[in-house]
Amino acid sequence: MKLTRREFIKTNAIAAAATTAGMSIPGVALAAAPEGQDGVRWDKGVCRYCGTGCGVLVGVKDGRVVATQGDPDAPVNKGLNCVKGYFLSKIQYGKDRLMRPLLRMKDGKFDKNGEFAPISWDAAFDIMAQKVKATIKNPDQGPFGVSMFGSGQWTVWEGYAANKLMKAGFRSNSIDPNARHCMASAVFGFIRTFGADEPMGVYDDIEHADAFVLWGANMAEMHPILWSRVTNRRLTATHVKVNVLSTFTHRSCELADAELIFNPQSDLAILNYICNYIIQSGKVNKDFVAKHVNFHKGVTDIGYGLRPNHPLEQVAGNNGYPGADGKPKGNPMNSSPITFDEFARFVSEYTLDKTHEISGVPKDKLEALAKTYADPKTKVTSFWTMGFNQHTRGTWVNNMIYNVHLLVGKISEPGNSPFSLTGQPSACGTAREVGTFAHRLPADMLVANPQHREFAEKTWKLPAGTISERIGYHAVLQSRMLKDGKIGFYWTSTTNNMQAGPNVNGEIYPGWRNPKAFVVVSDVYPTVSALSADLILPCAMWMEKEGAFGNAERRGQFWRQQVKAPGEGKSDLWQYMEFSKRFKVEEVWPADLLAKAPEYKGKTLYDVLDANGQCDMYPKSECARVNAHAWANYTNDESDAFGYYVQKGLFEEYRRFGLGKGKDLGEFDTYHKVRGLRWPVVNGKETLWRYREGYDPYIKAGETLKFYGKPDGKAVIFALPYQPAAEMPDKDYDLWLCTGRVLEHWHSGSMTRRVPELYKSFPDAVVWMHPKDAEKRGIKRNDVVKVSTRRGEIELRVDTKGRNKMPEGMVFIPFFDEHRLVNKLTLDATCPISKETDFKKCAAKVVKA
Amino acid sequence: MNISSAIIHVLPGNVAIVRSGLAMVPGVEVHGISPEGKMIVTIETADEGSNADTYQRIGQLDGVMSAAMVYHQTESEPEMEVSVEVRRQPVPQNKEI
Amino acid sequence: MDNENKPSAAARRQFLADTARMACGVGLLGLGVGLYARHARALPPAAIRPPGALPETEFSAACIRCGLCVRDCPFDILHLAKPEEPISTGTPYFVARQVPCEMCEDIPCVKACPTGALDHFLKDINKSKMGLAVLVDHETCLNFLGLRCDICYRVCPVIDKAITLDRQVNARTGRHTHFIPVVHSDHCTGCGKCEKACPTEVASIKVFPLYMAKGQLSSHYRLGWVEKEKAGGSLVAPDVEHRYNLPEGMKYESGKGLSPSVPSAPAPASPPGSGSGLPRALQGSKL
Repeated sequence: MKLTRREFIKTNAIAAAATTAGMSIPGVALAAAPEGQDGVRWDKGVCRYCGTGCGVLVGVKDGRVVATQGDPDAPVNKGLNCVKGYFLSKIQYGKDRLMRPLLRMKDGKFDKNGEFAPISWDAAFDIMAQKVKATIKNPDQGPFGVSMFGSGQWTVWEGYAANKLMKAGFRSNSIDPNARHCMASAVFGFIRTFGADEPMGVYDDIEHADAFVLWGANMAEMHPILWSRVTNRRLTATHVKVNVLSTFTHRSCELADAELIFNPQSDLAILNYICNYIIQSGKVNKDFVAKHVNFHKGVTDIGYGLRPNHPLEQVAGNNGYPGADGKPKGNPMNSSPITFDEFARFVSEYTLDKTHEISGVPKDKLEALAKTYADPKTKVTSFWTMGFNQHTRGTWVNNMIYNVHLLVGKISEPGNSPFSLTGQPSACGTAREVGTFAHRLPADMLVANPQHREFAEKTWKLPAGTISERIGYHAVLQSRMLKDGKIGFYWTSTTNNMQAGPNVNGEIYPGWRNPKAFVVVSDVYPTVSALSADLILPCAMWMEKEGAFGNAERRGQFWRQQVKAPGEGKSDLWQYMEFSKRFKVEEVWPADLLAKAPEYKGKTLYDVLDANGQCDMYPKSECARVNAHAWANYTNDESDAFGYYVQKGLFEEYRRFGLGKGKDLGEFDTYHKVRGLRWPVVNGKETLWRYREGYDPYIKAGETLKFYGKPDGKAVIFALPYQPAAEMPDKDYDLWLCTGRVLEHWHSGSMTRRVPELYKSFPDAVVWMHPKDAEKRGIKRNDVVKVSTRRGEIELRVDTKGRNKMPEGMVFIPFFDEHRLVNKLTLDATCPISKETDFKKCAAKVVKA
Repeated sequence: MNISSAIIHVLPGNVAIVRSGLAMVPGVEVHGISPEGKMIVTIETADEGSNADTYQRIGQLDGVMSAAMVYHQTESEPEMEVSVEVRRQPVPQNKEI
Repeated sequence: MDNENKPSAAARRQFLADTARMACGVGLLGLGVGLYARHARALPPAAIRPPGALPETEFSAACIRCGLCVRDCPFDILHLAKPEEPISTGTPYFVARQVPCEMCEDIPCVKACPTGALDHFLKDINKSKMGLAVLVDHETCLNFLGLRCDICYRVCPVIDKAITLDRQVNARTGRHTHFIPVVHSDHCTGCGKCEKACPTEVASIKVFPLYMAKGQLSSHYRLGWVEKEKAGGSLVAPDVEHRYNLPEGMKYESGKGLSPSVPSAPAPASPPGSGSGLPRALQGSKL
């Protein structure tokens, strides 16, 4: 308890006197009352941070989250949390929570160069609606000029409502999640190899594996709870070996039996060498390959996802950009069938010697790793995150790890698992499964596929042709289109692209401040992005709304709204639904489309999208009924506002997309009664290992295994080469710059930086560099240095010791620190297929400041 | 600031008189009275001198047999916050005062 | 923690403060009581108070420096602090590495205390909290190094409660176990026997006053498994039954994961880990 020193001394004084006098004093007894029976109400929830999906119990008292605990019944974490999860109860209560909508104004009117001033929600929606309508009418911009940047931290129904409002309501496919920066390469890898997104395995693979291989994943800091499971497996089964591949030495290397530090980009060569070794040593699982695998050779001249006028793009023949004749130059996705022998010949040039030369990894280590994969008796689980995904060949490198697993048939069974981890709590649940990408619809469907559009239009009760067949602007393209004046209305939520996006100086900031664009940021704290916007909308976060997240092992988890948002904060779901009331259908749809559904004339987008007889079919009383097992008379703010159980209506409509397609989610009510379900959920049963007979209900008896995402049930092994990075160190910029995270802070730090204990534990970003690199430049540990690239410069302190040990020629800077924006330095080169930025590689120089 | 506590022994039947007398002395607060007539008070004063004066005044009140200081502490920043755990005081058994 | 000064300076200041306070004490019951506390933080870590001592601040306020506890200690373990020592002058203490508390069943020192500075409610010496043993140096503790020492464990008067041995795989040998001593604060009395007995040159396990030895979880976070046990079950309604798609012969249970539904013959023993090339986290020198 808190006392002033005066009160404290008095209490002691009284106590001493009472003791001496042999008396008991009621006042003192009161002060000493135990804090036991504390009246805290507990309910289940999910951690707000990474994709692991740890279950937490949330303690609420007097309308405030006062405590949390790891949920001992949660199968993912069994009561444990990392230090960020330990402080979860504080993330909602930063002192600078946004309380009211704020608009840049001068003389009482909106002015792009004005100062932020509070306005009402009504006035905020007025100006937003005006900007949306103007953008759609503007011939330079059109419907796709209405653009949204969302999040893998959106709840499932928020992403679903946003997706529907954009793709059906405004008929703009220019909606993309920040997950584009995080696992788009994993998505394209899955789709290209298997025809279906998301891992086949589950976290239980950890307890069955004989060897772990980490490819560009620092699980010790970024997935601490999963790492403790890996560690336990390593400790309790002494034959288990851990291999860590990285471009520098980090905390996960502590547990590594083999640490392979490779030159940036050379993972491509190493993966091909492993395939070559498997083939040369006769360890190909021939039966598996014959039954379940096709071979393809991918096109190679695919560019680097830079602007079309960049020299690297002008010489690229397969980047899909318009050529001199105006037609697209090929397609980076293209590939053609080859035979096994042709594949074997293709990888045969990746010999041990050559791979050693490219990668810098000692030969014995390369060979030992290849043997691990090749040995039929060793079950191998491979984990990867941003090292693979944030890569100008991110889709390739995802394809290539599957090449390895498929050649030896080590897949879709306990312990044999190529496992793509995620960094956000609902990157899988919301970004991927709901399909909030510019090219996607729910349940792996695509806007470019006419049958998929038709299915979506029918499910949403919309006329044919509502959804555009054109792929919308993806994250990096949105920044470029803003700068080029092609986007007139830009709405971001639950993300911080001004800090987390690439090349802030060159693209994002000039784009947002372009007078042709109106930028709205929905958030809970004044992030760098919020302060760069024209309008800020205050949001409800985490336990201030009913929610659902989907983690990396296909587990969907729900929670009930526990507390109210402060001030005028509103959930994103409320924002999208309430905003849709501002549009008559005829204001946003062309006449010929409306003519196909004359009953919609005069209706609002809200009537058409939400009050459509489906989303509004569960009365408000359902809130209490569905959740009666948890607390009496439960309700939530959206259901109170709209008069029906909004979340249930949206989810049950959304669920129709995946039923019968291997994407089956469970029933809404069930999720509120369990610690998550792993899809596909068929006849009430969860699926652990997909594609494997017995485990996956889609595999018929006798089929043993079938990759049913592909029409012929076969996965694809791709022949793809090693190619250099987009920008490499040279004489002017002589160091590799890699960016990433630290354990204490999550992403751009907008939550963790507001937890005092976490802030104190790692207040400022530093640049880690090799002591010799520092010495050469006359730099000592803790000196302030200037790090610069061709795009910008920042100043920060140097660390040559501690958690990250850099090889010579490379520096690492985390991106959590809003005062040291490392993304001013990064290059907006992407994987040309996945469009995911390579935040791990560009050329930089370091001088003493 | 001086903060102290004291035990005041009151003549039987004089508790009410002593109470009203103490109410006239600035900085004095009564925290408890035992059936036998022992009173526990705290005294807050600005400095040592007034502390001594206060004790003198208490001792001279009608009905007071004796005033004994038990605890005394000087505090320069009385309004500063501290986090503390206060526990119930044990009562010594079989001790005569 | 307002006293980080060097012992000598602190001692001098404490002495002066005590003297000053003595001067303004008022006689009580003919004992010449002066009860005062500056903050008790002046107590150095090696000085342990007798059993039943109140929390330090209250203790120094309530202790009248009469010396009766020292007189009644049958083993002459307790001392009264001298003016030159960095402890409130005249208050009792002992140093575990020199002579630990013998934990008398009848607790004569507490009985002797006239003021309650030593808690008269303390009737069971096993419930006393003089301090807390802390395995301070994992690098020198022999059990952490994989040797079988266990002296602290075996010498502990509350053996198997206050100190237990946690078995952990010794990955270096692949066949042996580290018996890691774990102190449990709810049973440790702080008597100091373990510190006295520890065989390393400088003790690897030491007793510290509770305020120094004990961390405290913040109230905003609860341990899920503890709360569940306290409540006698889940705080949140248990899950409805999970069912899974599984091949024949396999079962999948919450908390246990995948296993054959019919137990199969035990797997052959794992080969021992090789001595070299171990992960740094598992190398002997780290532990």
